[in-house]
Amino acid sequence: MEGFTLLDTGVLIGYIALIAWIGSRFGKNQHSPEDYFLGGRSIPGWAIGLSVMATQASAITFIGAPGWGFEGGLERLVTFLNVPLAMIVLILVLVPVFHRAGIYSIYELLERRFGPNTRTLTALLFLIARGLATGVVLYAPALVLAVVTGWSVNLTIVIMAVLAISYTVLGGISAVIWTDVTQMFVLWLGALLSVIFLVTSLPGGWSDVFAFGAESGLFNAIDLSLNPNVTYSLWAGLFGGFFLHVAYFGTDQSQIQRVLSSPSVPDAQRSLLIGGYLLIPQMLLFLFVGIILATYYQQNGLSAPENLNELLPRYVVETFPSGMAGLVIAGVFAAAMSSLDSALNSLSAVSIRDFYSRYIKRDASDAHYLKASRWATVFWGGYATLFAFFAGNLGPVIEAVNQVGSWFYGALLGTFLLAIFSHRSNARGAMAGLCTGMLAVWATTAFLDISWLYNNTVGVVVSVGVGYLVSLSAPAPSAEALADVIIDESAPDMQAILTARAGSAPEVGHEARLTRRRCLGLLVWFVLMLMMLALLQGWANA
Amino acid sequence: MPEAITLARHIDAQSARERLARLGGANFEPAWVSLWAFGLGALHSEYAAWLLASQALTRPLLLPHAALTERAEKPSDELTLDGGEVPSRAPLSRQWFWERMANPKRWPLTLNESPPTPLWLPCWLGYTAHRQRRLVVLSGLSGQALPQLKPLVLSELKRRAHEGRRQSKRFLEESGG
Repeated sequence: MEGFTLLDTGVLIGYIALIAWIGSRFGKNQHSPEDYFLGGRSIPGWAIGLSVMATQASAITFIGAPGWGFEGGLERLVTFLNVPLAMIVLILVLVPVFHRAGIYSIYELLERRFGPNTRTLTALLFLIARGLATGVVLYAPALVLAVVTGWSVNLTIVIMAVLAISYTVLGGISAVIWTDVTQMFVLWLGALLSVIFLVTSLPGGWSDVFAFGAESGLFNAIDLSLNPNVTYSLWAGLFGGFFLHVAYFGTDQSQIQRVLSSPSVPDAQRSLLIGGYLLIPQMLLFLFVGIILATYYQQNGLSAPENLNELLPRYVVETFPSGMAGLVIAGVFAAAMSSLDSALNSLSAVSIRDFYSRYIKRDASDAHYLKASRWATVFWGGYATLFAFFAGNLGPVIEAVNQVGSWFYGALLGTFLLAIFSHRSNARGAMAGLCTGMLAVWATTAFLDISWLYNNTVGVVVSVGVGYLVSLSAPAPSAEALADVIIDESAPDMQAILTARAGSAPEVGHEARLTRRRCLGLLVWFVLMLMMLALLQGWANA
Repeated sequence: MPEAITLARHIDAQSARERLARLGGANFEPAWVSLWAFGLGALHSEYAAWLLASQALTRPLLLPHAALTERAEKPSDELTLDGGEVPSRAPLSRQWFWERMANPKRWPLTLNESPPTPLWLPCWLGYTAHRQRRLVVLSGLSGQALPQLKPLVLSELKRRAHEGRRQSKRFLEESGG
């Protein structure tokens, strides 16, 4: 029980200062355009993918997932089991359409397809949902700091908010890819070291963990119950969580931004692939940390902290050697700051681009919009801070982020699916579908006791169904409105032209298609993960 | 108007063949697309990059090279496609401003005041042979797929085909008459 020593504080400050220095040295003032646009050709694809993962979820995974594991073992892994399948849909359907349309924000696609009102409403929904989720992201590092310093969580939330808003307004950390990757490894190292320290402190080591886990049903990841009230059944994960993740990775501007700015479709696919392969093992690692902590607490007769989000940070601070705890806490801190930076930045950009410049001040100077965007950052920082005060009551932080999203994202995804797949749907249908989709989610949560994971499915089904039916009451969209989603090349005359050109062009040869190979790989990975969990569960219950 | 620059093709036929094979291409051919290059650069510095744009492109392409390297010979017998008129600077500048704002790493690069340079961008066109013919456009500079150029290339191929048909009809009418 060393606590957070002076050396740890020194490491924490040093690490953050180093990351900020690297960011400002190689991020803001880099003069190689290769770095601006391609992330540097010498940087391997896996590093780019890890960097995406690091800014997405690493800090809140570190804090939230052990709480999940402690409470329910592997049961909540089904929420993430669908990620490879969600990535297949993104790779095959959404990314090619977004890339071909050449858009900066995905809500622009809805404007071209359904008119300005749909863009405004969807962008507004993004602002509300992402703003709330940013509150949870803000809460995460504040909680870590509170555990370390012993201050109240609310005070640390305010300190963190002021810190995050200040550096975002000043231009952000501009973390470069390698600092993100370093953070990722520091967090994984923290989790692995926790596993080693915890397991070696148990008299029976791993056998104690497996015995306790099997006895307590903590390895039961697959619940085949068809009852929709069961929150974490396999079906809720597959049919509910699947839509949650397609919507989260595909229709949230803060997530899809990197994909839109990727230089090519294969590059965009690569960053999604890394998430598709690594999210499940990462969750498994952190859930296992929770199970091991549960074993540790049970054997030592300890009582769990009231807030399960504090489990791992508290253990790290109290058990890790001096200096090492500082490093891991600094990793959590820096990763959370990196997520906050990009979230506040995307909120501010959408506020100014999709609202301010369209409705309040058209054709102002760049300097004016820049100033307005800084005020928008301050506003969204304040909004997130207010919500952060309540985030602790929402349970483990990672679930809180997903639950907030599930109120909006289903209907949002439904509108995108309508735009892409239904060439009969129009603006009236899209608006009706979007509004009724969200109403349906609200009614489901208010009057039905079904798993929250189905919220997105309800939103998608209702918005697509109502959207299509209402569209029939208004004229079909013009060819111009469909230009982004109908590929000219499928028209008979274009097919004839392409066939004629191909007939006189040299042959390429035959090789497996990259996209198909990538999607098949993700499908195999999903089946392997499912089988592994089934085997573990079978062994535990035998 | 300045003479158009012809960019050197860095991706040779063999590399293009390999890349297109991975993307499902069955046949391929070289092509050139005419675009307009607007210089990007940090204040008081050389051009750091270029925005390749035209009125027909919804979003400009980024060309991350400090200098536009020209090849000696001009596009001749290969397929040349007209990318469209020069776009207005003001909307392009505003578009780039939004992109800079969304991505702080691009913030130091501003659109230069100098007039745009017309250029020929080397491309490779791949044709897939699955249930439907599909077109894949590859950059002849980097080998990356350029889906943003597809609508432009398709409409140009269509225009050329219609023009070809009109010419042969006229020829037949004239020779018949």
